[in-house]
Amino acid sequence: MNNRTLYLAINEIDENLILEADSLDFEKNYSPVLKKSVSLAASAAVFLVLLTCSAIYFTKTNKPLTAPTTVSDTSLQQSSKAEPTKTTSVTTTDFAKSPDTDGLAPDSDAPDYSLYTLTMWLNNPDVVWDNHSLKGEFSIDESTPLGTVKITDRLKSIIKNNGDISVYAVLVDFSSCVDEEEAENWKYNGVSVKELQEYFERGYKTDKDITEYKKKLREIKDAYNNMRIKAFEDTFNKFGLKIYTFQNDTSSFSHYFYVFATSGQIQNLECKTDEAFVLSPAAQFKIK
Amino acid sequence: MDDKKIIELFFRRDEAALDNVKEKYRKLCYKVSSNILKSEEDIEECINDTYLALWNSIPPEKPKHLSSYICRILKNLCLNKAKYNSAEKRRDSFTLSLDELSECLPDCGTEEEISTAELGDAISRFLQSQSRTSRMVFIRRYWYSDSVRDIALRYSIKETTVRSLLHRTRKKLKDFLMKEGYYSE
Repeated sequence: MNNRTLYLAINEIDENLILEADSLDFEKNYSPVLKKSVSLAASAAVFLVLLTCSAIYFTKTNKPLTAPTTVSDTSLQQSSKAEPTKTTSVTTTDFAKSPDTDGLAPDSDAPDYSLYTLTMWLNNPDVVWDNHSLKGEFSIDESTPLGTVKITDRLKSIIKNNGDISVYAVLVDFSSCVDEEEAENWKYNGVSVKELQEYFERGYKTDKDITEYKKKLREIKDAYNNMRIKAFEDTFNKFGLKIYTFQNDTSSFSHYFYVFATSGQIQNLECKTDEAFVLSPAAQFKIK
Repeated sequence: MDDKKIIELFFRRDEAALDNVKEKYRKLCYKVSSNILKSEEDIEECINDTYLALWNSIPPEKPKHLSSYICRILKNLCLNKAKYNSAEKRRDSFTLSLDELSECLPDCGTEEEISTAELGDAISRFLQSQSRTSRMVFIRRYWYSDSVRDIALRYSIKETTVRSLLHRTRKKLKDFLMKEGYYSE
């Protein structure tokens, strides 16, 4: 056998695989972080700017982990010391809990982060981010059954190294509770992703057509993600967590958002039976 | 016109079938053949031969997916046309993709006759077991003969990511084919 034979054999592969590869909807199993390719130079620049802003803010306020002005009573340090009222966890993790900072339960005196903006979190030097991605790409390729919350090993390891009084930037992937078929058939402004793809795949298209197609595809997927994320707000608000999102070139094709949480909140997070979340550490430079 | 109607025209031996194929798939044919061949003359010849092959094969063939059926015929014609082993070996995307596939072969290959259809089935099984991401990138590279750059642009990912995915998939394919007994080291 030689490479030519192999090439000819590849030419004979299943037609459905060929058609699948002709689709532009590449993202189903593709990790959100991996997709958000950011050049190292741009990342470094963003990181430096954020560091500078953080330093200025920190110097002015001299109050770590406290939102500026109006929300001083909701310091994250206070929240992490809240009395535990519930110790059960639905995570699939064997994460070792600290006995005196067990986190917040739905009916506890949960901190109110509702006044925090994403910029505030980004500028807060005491938030713990994942720095793994600065050295290369980092992908999340994990799933969890419906009704469960899973903490990735990497997040567990970061929490272990930083303790219970830190606040962690967490990327919450909700792909595990997305029915791809339902998502493909979900209509936005009367058109579904499936219909759009079927229309597009009828023959070869020009670059302009591809651009237009991608734009429309992104619109539908963004609307779908927003609709789903909106429905998760109750679950996260119960634990004093606010959901943050941001748009970039590739975010439409994944299912994730961000929260900023203490280890207790992370470990005690519970979801509804039709929800499922994989929690992993967020990389600061990827939010731009 | 949708593919079903075009195929019906072929079955009725109506030459309008070819006109519709040309109108609908001309650009696709050009894209696929130009990934393999550089000479405009060769490209034109292969495309025309593909139309003829379509006319001769449908009926009795009744392809489920006309676009991939056309591309399959076209690619075989283009591959025969490409003088890969000639002295004027080009370092274009297609030639490079062919070279890359050598990584899936053992160092001392056997020269047994292997049915491409059978091997194609095995490769399909292998690809079905891979992640959607890996197989789509693999197929874009080795079926559509897209350049690494085109794949990166198409899916908004880095070229290094594409290369890395391809490298890993080739390695896995080699292991798979060895395990399936297609060759041994």
